[in-house]
Formats: sequence, structure tokens, C-alpha cells
Amino acid sequence: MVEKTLEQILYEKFNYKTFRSGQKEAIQAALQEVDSVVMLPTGSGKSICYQLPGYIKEGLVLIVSPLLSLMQDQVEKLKSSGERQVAALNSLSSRNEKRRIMKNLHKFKFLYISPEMIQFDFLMTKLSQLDIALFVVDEAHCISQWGMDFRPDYLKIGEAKRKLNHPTTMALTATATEQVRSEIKQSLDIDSIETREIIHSVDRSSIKLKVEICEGNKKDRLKELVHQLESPGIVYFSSKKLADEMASVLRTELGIRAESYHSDLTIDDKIKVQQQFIDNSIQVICATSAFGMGIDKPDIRYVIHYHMPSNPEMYLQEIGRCSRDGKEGIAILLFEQGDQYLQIRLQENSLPDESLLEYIYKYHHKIKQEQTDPKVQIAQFYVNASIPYRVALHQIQTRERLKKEQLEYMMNYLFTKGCKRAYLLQYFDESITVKPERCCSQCTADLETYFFDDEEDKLVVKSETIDWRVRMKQLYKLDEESMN
Amino acid sequence: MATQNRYFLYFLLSFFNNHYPSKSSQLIHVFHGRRTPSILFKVENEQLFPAFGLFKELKKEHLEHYLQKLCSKNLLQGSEEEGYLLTSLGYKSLTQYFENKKYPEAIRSLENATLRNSFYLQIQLVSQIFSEKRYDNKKYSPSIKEPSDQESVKAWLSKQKKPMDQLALQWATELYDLLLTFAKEEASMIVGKLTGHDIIGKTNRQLAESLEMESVELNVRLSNTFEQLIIQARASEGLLLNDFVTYLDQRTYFGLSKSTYDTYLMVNEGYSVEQISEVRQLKLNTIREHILEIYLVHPDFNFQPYIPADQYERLKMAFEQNPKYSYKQAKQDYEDLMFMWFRLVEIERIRYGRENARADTL
Repeated sequence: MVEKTLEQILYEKFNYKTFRSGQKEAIQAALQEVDSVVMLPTGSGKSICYQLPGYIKEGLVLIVSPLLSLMQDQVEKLKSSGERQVAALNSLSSRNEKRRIMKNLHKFKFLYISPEMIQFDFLMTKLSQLDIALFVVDEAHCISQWGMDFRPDYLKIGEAKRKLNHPTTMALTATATEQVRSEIKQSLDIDSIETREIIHSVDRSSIKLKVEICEGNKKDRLKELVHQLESPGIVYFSSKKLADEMASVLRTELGIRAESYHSDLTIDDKIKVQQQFIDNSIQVICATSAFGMGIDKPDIRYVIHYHMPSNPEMYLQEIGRCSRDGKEGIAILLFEQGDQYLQIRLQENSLPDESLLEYIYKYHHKIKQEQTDPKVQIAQFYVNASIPYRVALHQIQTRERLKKEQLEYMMNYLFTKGCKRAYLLQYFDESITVKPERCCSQCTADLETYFFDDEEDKLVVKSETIDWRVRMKQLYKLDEESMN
Repeated sequence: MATQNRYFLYFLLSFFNNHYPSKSSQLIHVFHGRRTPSILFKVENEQLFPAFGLFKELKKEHLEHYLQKLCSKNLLQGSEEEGYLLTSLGYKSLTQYFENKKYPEAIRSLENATLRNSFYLQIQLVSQIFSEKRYDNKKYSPSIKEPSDQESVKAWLSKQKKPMDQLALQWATELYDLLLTFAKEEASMIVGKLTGHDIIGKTNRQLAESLEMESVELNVRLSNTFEQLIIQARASEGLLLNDFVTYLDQRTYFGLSKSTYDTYLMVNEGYSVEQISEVRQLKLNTIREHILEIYLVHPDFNFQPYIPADQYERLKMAFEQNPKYSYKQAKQDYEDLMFMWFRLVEIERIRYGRENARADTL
């Protein structure tokens, strides 16, 4: 009976007939008021795990989510499916919006908040007076020092949970090692024995893995691959300039509809690029890691990394945008000697060193709070959270060491003579259960050729000239009659 | 000059003259749209309106690099310490360049400085909503995601008395008619940006490519074109777009910062500087700066109540005798002179001089 109801609700609210692997277990845990750590691979519909119980249980589903764009995206999706009682509270919310949300807190079914919001006692007190049906921590790996996106703000989540009188908790992630999962449980103060762990393999067998070592010909190889592979695809870069440059090369030299995507794009142009990609007006996106969150395009056939990501978690997240329709796709990692130094430089600039940390602890009262340098921001966070200097230093040094180890793992992945998939899974303490066909570039020669586009000609496309009158008429269904 | 960034370099050059030396440390604040009285005065005095707030991401070191480049071509002279001035070659090159390229002439005041960004984003959202309405489609993803913009548009729509289908048609036909008064390129820019039913707007890069412009030229021209649209809409009473601009004007404090706007409301009720300071619990000097900001943004603001009549006459006469009359001289002439009095009259005289010069050319 219960199962039937769950499936009915799934169809009514989300228009799916069956659950994907792991979803139902997670929902049942929430309904039975059991804390859970849910690890489902990218693109497997994690949000349903907490949204569906919201329609059954009384009370508010409170979701802490670190990514503003993703939060907005979830709110928009819920609204478009007819849910009115949903809101997002974060740094982008206007004063009016914040006021409106605070006034109507008791009316919401789903409230998304950013981690920094839990620091506001006023909000926490108000929330603690409500019936919280489910407390969800999305991208829970951010809690962990060992996770790829450690966010100091997330350190406060355990405390927030206590303030909310220990509601049923669901921690969601797509990529977390056993160590990370253990730290998530510890930080959230959830019982290790009682907690239900719904852990599904991070492996996506439909995504085939290829590594290619280049020798001074990486740009040419990229051009060849993009020309040959069936689109749509994403190419990731660590540099905005190179993303622009290569998108331009692909357009002008190969006639491919390529666009770049990174933080320099205007706020409206970012959406335009995303929407054009989703509706296939763009074949290839040359992006930095800023692209992808919240992009739910099922038919991406390849993801190429022009620059190596800094850790296996990030690599899996980014290639996870491929093949969401279940059809085969390919993830290609291009490497050239020296690429690792770019990552090392980026890492050096991401955490405060001992002298900076010491300086900020000593003179924090003289330093303005609104700093743009992330190193200063991290140090300020520790000071503001009254974390002793020694503890802060230890945490930062541990994290530095960890980052080095993760990068080393990526380097070993590049050069391993064994199966690439097996090596990547080993990082997550997993092994291959059923070896997929065309597994990786070690297991299958010329792997990429299976993903070549059969259609020979790719038309040279230039942005068409705009006849504004025609476009206006199309936009607004204008004809002679309506215009008179 | 190198073809790449050519428009940007000439555009940058256009903010120099041979009277007032400019430093990168000042210009960067203009490009970032910083609202201090001295920056706003510089914008007014040197007519830097199109630059104000246009390149918020530009870094000072990059600006310095470009200024060096202009110096190396003998188009500018000077140094960072002394400031840079336009050379006669610079003036000649500038005139030649903008004979064939459009200069953003619609941006002639600070009046729309706080409105521009909201207008640019929200008109895209309103246009999309009406486009989808024309096709009776309710399921679409908004082209503008910022909650504050969405909230604003929602509030504006809820104020409208007519049904949505009528509004959608009215919006479409009025916008169409208004665009007929624009040059083809300008109309294409506006319509090209719009997203609607089964149509996704172009990015700036795509528009620049289709209109065969440099990307900076497109950005500058786009900003100018949207300014033109604001001006036209404001002048067209009765149009839905006019109502939209009026609504946004209010939400963006009529070109003022929020705090200055709060002062402005009290000014309108006849409060004195001292009274405003007391009620708002702000320093007297802050309120005086607000008065200056109000006058810099709204030339028709009557500042007479904020300057003693005899001081006004004295300063006016001094400026008539010597247009370069300085605060230092004025202070020597009258020890108790307040900076706000001096600056108000100075701004009035600058504007008056400019009006006369324009009239002479007729």
C-alpha cells in the first residue's frame, strides 16, 4: 500500500513512473524518521529523495545547499511543477524577499538556505519553533575537511541541527569516500549505527574513460576530437582565456557552434548560453568549472578535460554530466607534461599560509570583513567562529596535504597501466562489479572512434543576421491583424 | 592602433581633454560607478557620463596599461602622478575615428545610472513573459534568474489592471512601434537580446559577431541603445513601457543612492540640512554630500534653499568674472564659506557655460 502511494506521488508530482536506484530507500528512511547518508551518482535524481517525503510528512523540509545557482534552479523546478510553498534564502535574496520569507516561514513546505544563513540566530530561533519534517544537507561532502569543496560555513551545520532540536536528517552527496562519509556523520552528530547509509556506486558504466597524453599538440588534438566526436559536448578548461580562445578557434576554423562559459560572462548571457546548449543551438561549450551545476541535459555525448581537475571527486562530478540518458558517452582527459603545475599554482592560492593566518588572528579587528581574497576569507571564518589558532592551522595544513595527495592520485590515474575505471573507483573504495563493454582506453584500443559522428559535413555556421522585425513578429505572434 | 580593442582604446581616449588631467586612479572609480561627490563632480565636469559604471570589472593595472599604450602613440601625454591630457594628435585621431564609428551619445546624464542595470535585465524578463503569454505557454524557464529582478517584475505585473493577454499584445505592438524610430542596428541589438517563445536571445558575443563589431563596441553601443530606449519610453506617456520605466525609477531611487534618496524625500518636505541630520542621525557633512549628489543627478533640483542668497550672488558673480574661480580663492574671499555652497554654484555655472556654448554653435 505504502509503495503504491509512493509511486503514485512520484508520478503525480514528478511525472516519473518508477524510482531510480536508491531513491526509494532514501525516501523510506526519511518517512521512518531515520537519519540517512545518501550517496547516489551524479544525475540520478537526488532531489526527489527529500522532495517526495515533503509531500507526505507534515512540516517543513529545510535544505542547506552550498550552491546558489543550484538552489535557484531547484526552486524554479518546484515552482514550475506547481509547488507554491517554496523559497530560497541566501545572499542574493533582496531585503523585501527576506522579509517576506521570514514572515511566512510557517507556510513553506520547502525552504532552501545557504550555509551562511545558519549563522543568523534570528533565523535559527524562528526555524526552531517550527516543525521540521526533514533537515537536508545537500552536497554534504562540503562538510568534510576531506571532501573536494570543503566550506568552512558547513562546520556550523552540526550546531544548527542541535538548535533545531535534532530533526530527521538526510545528508546527500554524489561523490564521497568512506572517510568523508564518516566525517559527515560525525559533524552532523548522527548516530553511526542507527543511520541508514544508502550508498550506490559512483561508477557510471555508460561513460567510457579515456586518457590521452599529448606532446605539444594538445590544441590540435582537441580540435580533431571536437570535429570527430558526436555532439553535444563540454570541454573543461582551468583558464577563462583559453576557454574563450578555443571556442573561437572551434567556431572560426571548424565552423562548430561553440561558445565559452565562465565567470566573466554577464549574468544574462550565462543563462542564454545554458539555454542555447539545452536546446541544441550550441554544440560545444568551452567552460571553466563554473559550468554544469544545475544543467540537466540528458544527451551530452562527451566531456573533454583540456586541463586536469585537481581531484578525482571533481573529475567524477564533471564527467557525470555526460550520458544522463543512459546511452554511451565518452570522457577524455587530455594531459601534457607541465599541466600539473597549473593545478599546483591554483592550490597554492586557495588556502592561507601560516604567516597570513597568524597575521589575521592577530589583527582581525583591523581588517575589513568584506574581503575578496578567498585565503583571507577562510582565515576570517576561523577567527569569526572563535576556533583556536592552533586548531585552525592544523586544519588548514591537513587540507593542504590532502590536496597534494588528491592531485597525486589524478597524476597516477593518468599514467596507470591498468584499467582506468578500476583505478578511479579504488579512490572511493570501490571495485568494478561488472566490467562494461568499451570500459576505458586501457581496456579498448582507439576508444574514441566508437563515439565519432557518422555525418561527414559539419556546416560552417555564422551567427545569422537579425531582422528585428521578423524576430519581433515571431516573439509575439504578431500579424497584420494583431498589429492594427 | 592594433585592430583588437581599437574601439575600447578610442572610447577610453574620449574621456580625456586638454584642460583637466585625469589619472587612472580617478578614472577607475568612474568606470566602476563609484558614487562619491568628487567622482560624480568629475563625471559632470568632464562629461564622462557614458563611462560611469560601464566597466565594473576593469582592473586598475589594466587601465594603466591601456593609458601607457595611448601615451606611446602620442595620443595622451602626462604621467600617473600628474595625470594625463589629450594631445592634439589624440584629438585629431579621436575625431577621425568617431567619424566612422558611433559614439554613445544617448548617455548624457547620471539620471539613469541606478536604473540602467535593472531596466536591462527586467525588460528581458517582461518581454519573455509577454512572449510566452502570446503563445499561451506557462511552462518555461525564466531568462533572468535573479530573485530580486523576478520579484520586481512580478510586483509590476500585479499592479496592472488589464488582463495579461491584452497587456502582452499592447507591450508587443508598442515596443514594435517604438523600435521603428530606432536605427536598424540599434533595433536589432534590443530585439536580439530578447528571449521568448521558442527563441533564445543572443549573447553579447553572438550579437557582436552578427553585427560585425568588436565586443567592447557592442557592449558600449548596447548600453547606449538601452539608454535611448529608456529616454524614449519616458517621453512616451501612456505606453506600458513608460509605466514600466516610471515604476523602475521609483525602485531604483530616481538615480540616487538609497541614503541620498531618503534625504531627498525629506528635502521635498522642506526640511533643512540640520533637521535632516538630526532626524536621520547622520553627520551634517553627509547630508550636504547628499544635496550635492541630488543636484549632480537632477539638474532641475532647486538648491537655492540650501545656500544663503548673498553667498549665491557673490559666488555667481565671482564665477562670471573668472570661470576658473577656485575653492581656495573663494575661501580667501570669504572665510566662512561652505564647500557645498561653492560646489553647487560651480556646477550650475559649468552647466550654464555649456548651454551657452551649445547655443553659440546654433
